[in-house]
Amino acid sequence: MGDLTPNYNLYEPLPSESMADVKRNVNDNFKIMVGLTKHTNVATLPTFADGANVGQTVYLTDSDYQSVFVCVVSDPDFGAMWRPIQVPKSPFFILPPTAFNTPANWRQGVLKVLYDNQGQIWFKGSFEWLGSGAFPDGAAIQILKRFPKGMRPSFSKCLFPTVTDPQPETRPSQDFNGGWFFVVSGTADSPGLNAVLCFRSSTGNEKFMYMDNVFYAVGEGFVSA
Amino acid sequence: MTFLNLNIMPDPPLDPLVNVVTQLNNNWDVIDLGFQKMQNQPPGPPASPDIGQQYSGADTNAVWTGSTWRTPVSWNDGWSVWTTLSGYFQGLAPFVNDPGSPLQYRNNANIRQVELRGAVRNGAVGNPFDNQTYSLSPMTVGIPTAFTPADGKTFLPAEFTLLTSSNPADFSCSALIIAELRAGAHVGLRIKHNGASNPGSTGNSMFFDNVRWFY
Repeated sequence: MGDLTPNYNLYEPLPSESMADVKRNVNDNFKIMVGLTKHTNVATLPTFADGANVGQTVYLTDSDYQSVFVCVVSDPDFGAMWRPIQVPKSPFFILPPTAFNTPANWRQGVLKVLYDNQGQIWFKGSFEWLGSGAFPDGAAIQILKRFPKGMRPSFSKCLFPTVTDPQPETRPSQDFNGGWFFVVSGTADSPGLNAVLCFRSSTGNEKFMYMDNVFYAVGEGFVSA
Repeated sequence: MTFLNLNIMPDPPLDPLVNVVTQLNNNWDVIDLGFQKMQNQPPGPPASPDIGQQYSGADTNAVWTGSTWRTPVSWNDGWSVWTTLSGYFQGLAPFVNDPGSPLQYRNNANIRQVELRGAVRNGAVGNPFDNQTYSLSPMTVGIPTAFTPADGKTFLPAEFTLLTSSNPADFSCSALIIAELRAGAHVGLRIKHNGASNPGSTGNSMFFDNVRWFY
């Protein structure tokens, strides 16, 4: 009895064995090779429900995004997200409602992210305040669930200015305020804290907090177990 | 989709009508080409690539699209020159370009992004930006509508500062403003200042440095 190769179990007959058994010595090996798959071409990027795996690569045949993509997030709450290799940016991935931490009096608007081929993640979209009056002054809320790996910054935490608006469809309006989008990868003293909105000096009737132009390099940061 | 399209020869007893040696040798050719595709034998990319197939060059990754090898698109190579929005504030007095840093934009065709820099000056003497909305929609010139944000608008923080005074104490005012961009004859800009700024001797400026959006 001959040997099997370590990776693909190809049969290697002993020198003393007869080569008359073509099935065992040749054809069964070829069948194993035929069964191997090559790169995967897809028309749309696989979702979490499709079984996307982090590290998986696919080639997207869409005419706007002809590129290899690497899956960087596949999470039951945040869905699947892909980083491009050739094209400069990915399509927008809309964060599903399950990514929202459902704090009281807040609603997730259409919040979406894209990845670029420089290793950065870009946010766009808003959260809506459903309470009466303005945002609570000086409050900090956990607006999104803990980011999975692949969305965390490459450093321990980062802070972005944001803007608000009360009536985005009926401009001009008079009231606006600033806020902060605070992303923390998780440290020993605050494990798992991610994606916090902070507010200050709210005096008007702000309703929407916008995340436009929030972007950072993705990395591991300080990841707590 | 199989990676190696090999001949499967008939199991014994051998069919005298099938040339097993030829099929076996053809399989070796397929295997050889497959390994060449996988390993990218130098000096160049595979001679007969498949769509979606990659190879690694000296410093980049390429993928075959069916007609060309596509390498990673550079961000840096896509930027246009800066265009000064001269005449942008025609009819919008007292707003003018900040003399030291006029409002400029550039676009990046590779990443489809616009970036603003420079400042808007409230040119009236001693005229601060008050707590209100200022429409800066251009009358005759501006940022082309082709660069309108992908979903029609975006909300971007920017910096306000009093830059016209030589007194460092006057340099302390900073606040968020909103640059609103809407489709029209040109991309419209509106800024909103929260609170009142200190009046300057010749006007105050709002800065848009590093303001960017995807179009």
